[in-house]
Amino acid sequence: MTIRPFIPWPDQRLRSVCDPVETVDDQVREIWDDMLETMYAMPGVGLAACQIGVMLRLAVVDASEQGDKPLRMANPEIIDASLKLRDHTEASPNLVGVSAKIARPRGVTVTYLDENGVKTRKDLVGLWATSVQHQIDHLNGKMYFDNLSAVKRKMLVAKARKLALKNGRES
Amino acid sequence: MSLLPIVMHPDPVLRQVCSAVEVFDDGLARLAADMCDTMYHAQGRGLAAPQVGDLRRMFVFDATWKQGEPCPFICVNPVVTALRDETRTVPEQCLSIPDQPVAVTRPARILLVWQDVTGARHRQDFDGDAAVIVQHEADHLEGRLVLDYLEETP
Repeated sequence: MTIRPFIPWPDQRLRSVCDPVETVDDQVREIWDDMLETMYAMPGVGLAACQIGVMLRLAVVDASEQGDKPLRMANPEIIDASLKLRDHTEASPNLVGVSAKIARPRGVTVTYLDENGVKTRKDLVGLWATSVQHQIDHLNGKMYFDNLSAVKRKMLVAKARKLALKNGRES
Repeated sequence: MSLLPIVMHPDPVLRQVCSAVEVFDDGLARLAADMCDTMYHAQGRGLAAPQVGDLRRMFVFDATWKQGEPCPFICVNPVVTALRDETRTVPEQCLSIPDQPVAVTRPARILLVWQDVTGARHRQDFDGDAAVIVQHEADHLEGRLVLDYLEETP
């Protein structure tokens, strides 16, 4: 297992749609393990493969308190969402120092291929649901702040750019 | 009288908010009769219109038919009001989400105000299983499912 570096926004790969996984093999399982290690090191509650530059529809989520209930997902899809929304302040390791409150359905039903390549269906609620929606957005080339109004989005990106310059990094 | 196909989760119809019934015609009466048939045939004790793909504010229920004679309530434009603060937690099944009981906490006693298929108004207090079923079916008319009551896993 290896902690992999995050590609910095606005890398084109963060705005691209990832490719479906054909088969869940050892290579895929290895990517998941790296993703989990990278996620726990952040620490975070979810990660999409494109965040570390792997352009496959792979995601991991673990919103448990102990960080011991990882979900490994290939080709995750939302098939149902509650009408009730839940607010959460979201952020991304690909664009550090900024965050925004986003409202998403409180509960979702997702289908995905698990670590054995078996199609699985799961109901997720609360932070789990928020995280999986955030990750699936990534797989479709969408960042959390794309949910903001144009003005708020612009302010967030400007703030992040300023922070990056201050820290002596290119943005 | 005929059986209607039951819409299964995750069909988006189950997430729609239903609209009030304004026309009390034969079509409505037929739908009510068909929904009762469908409910009894599916071994259910309640069925809401969106579960058969109809987006009118109506449900049917019969809390006691498994213990005796069928005695369906047909509730059009129902309004539920909780009575007192007392709640009750019961695992609920849904014909549209088979084999997935969800424990839901709801007011134990309710007042239901509704119209029948002729448009006549009725009101009655319910407790026990009937109160649970009425609130479960009323949720369907708002696009709400038992899944929305799942607790957050820590």
